[in-house]
Amino acid sequence: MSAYVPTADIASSYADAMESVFSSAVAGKAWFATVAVVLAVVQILTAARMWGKLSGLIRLPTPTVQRIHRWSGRLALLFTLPVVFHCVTILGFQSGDTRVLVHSVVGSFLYGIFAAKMVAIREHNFPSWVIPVAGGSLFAGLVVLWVTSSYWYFTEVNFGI
Amino acid sequence: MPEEGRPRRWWLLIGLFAVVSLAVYGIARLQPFEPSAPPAAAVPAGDAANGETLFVAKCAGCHGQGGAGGGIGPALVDTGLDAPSVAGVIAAGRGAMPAGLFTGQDAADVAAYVAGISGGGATPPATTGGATTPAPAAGGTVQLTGDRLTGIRVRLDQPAPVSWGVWAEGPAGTRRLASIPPASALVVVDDAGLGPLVQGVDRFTVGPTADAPALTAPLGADEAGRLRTLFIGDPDLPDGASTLDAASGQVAVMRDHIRFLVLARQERNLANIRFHGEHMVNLAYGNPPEDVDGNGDPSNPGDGVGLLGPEGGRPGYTARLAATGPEAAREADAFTLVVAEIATAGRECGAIATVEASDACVATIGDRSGELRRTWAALRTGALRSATIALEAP
Ligand code: HEC
Repeated sequence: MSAYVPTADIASSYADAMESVFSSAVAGKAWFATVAVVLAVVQILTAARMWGKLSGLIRLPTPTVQRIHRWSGRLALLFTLPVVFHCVTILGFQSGDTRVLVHSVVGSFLYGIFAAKMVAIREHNFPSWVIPVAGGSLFAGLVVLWVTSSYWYFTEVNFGI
Repeated sequence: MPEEGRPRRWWLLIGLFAVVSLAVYGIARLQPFEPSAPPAAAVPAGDAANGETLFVAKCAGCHGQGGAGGGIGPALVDTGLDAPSVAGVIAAGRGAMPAGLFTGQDAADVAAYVAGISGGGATPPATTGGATTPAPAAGGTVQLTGDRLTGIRVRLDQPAPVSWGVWAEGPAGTRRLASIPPASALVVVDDAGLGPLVQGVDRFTVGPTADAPALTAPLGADEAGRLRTLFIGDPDLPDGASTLDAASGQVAVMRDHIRFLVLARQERNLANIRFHGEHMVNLAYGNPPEDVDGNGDPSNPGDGVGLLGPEGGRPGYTARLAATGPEAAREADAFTLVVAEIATAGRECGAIATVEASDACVATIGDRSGELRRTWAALRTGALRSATIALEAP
């Protein structure tokens, strides 16, 4: 027994919620994605530290670094949720031009990579290269998505909230 | 560190990756919450004046000032779109254009404004159409449209009483271009299929029959010649290009070389900073090129005419376009200012002694690139609008 969902209302409530803070839903999305990318940089730095790199740069005890890594990851995921909601359910897969196509293709894989990375860190018996490769791909994917959306929006359309 | 004896569950890792990716892709294909375009009746009446302000804020970046094009979005002037279709595009987005840039009353206001400039309904703001004069009871305008003047847009001050036609008359005869239904005051034909309408045409006529026109718009030989050099081709210009095409090309060359200059600064390449600084000067002022960087080779990546033209010499592109009418003349000032600023900073960069000392001039030039594009789009629109001829009683 499925209730009738007036889909246009979902799209416009989402837009209304975004517009209560930002000048448009798209502007809001661009900023959410930007926060996620900044957090992803924190992810890469803390991950490097956990693998014994950058210990000169990040002078924090390892447990603190691990906690930062976990929480910045959770927060980054949280910030991607509204973005993914808008992209996937309202805008959908599009292939209008190269930028949009690249964005759609990479975007389809992002949560897949995330899921694989979660498996890799829960199961402790994969070869040691799996986690850095998964984490690195996740970061690279996010950066590609950001460049083909937020960065493009800020430079081509409007830089502002 | 494999744990004792437990098998590696590759299938879980790869399977989850595949399943989740496929699921996201599937939902994106289904696009469950895609907003449907609002039904025509549901579009509230819009305030075009407010719409113009909103348009400048969020749409002009892609569609150009006044919707004239020049950005990544198509030109919206003369597209004949009505307010409900514009509202639909705003709600749903299209191609590279994001959905939902405006909602509610704002969307309606912008839609009303766009319908005005596109000629698809609503009245355009009073500022458009430099050549339009408040005509007597019966009159109107014929605007030739499209990059090659192959389209036509006829606007009547009063709606046609019965079904009317629009004709082009010339030595080769009279050809019908369009029909205006009764009670309608506007007709837009993107391409009349007759090639440039400034060739072999003496006048445009509008009325019940070609023999007894109600209104005529004479196209004098001078005016036709002016429009041909502006849109079709100018034997005075390199390769015989039209003024608008050649000038567009030179603006693009300047923007490319602005990028090269900024890149040269990033690469700390002093010789190239100076070289591209010299290019700014010569693109602005044309030939003879100056050897600003002192490398013994005055170089100009442009066509030598110059966006501003040599001071006191032949007119550059800006002067040619400014001469097309009051609207272009007005926009030409802002464009001239930007190009002159770029050239001044270029002169500085061209003779700079160290990479570090170039920061200010490179930044000035880099910052002007967007402004160059914007002011160019406005100047171009002004020139495009000059292809308007008044319709009067014969
Ligand atoms: C990010 C750049 C961008 C912005 C911002 C943008 N547009 Fe667009 N717009 C486009 C592109 C690109 C197209 C063509 C899409 C296609 O057909 O693939 C387009 C198409 C359109 C069309 C359809 C044109 C036609 O001939 O069918 C309309 C109408 C329109 N835009 C109106 C607007 C309005 C109003 C705004 C401001 C709310 C706006 N656009 C903001 C890029 C943009």
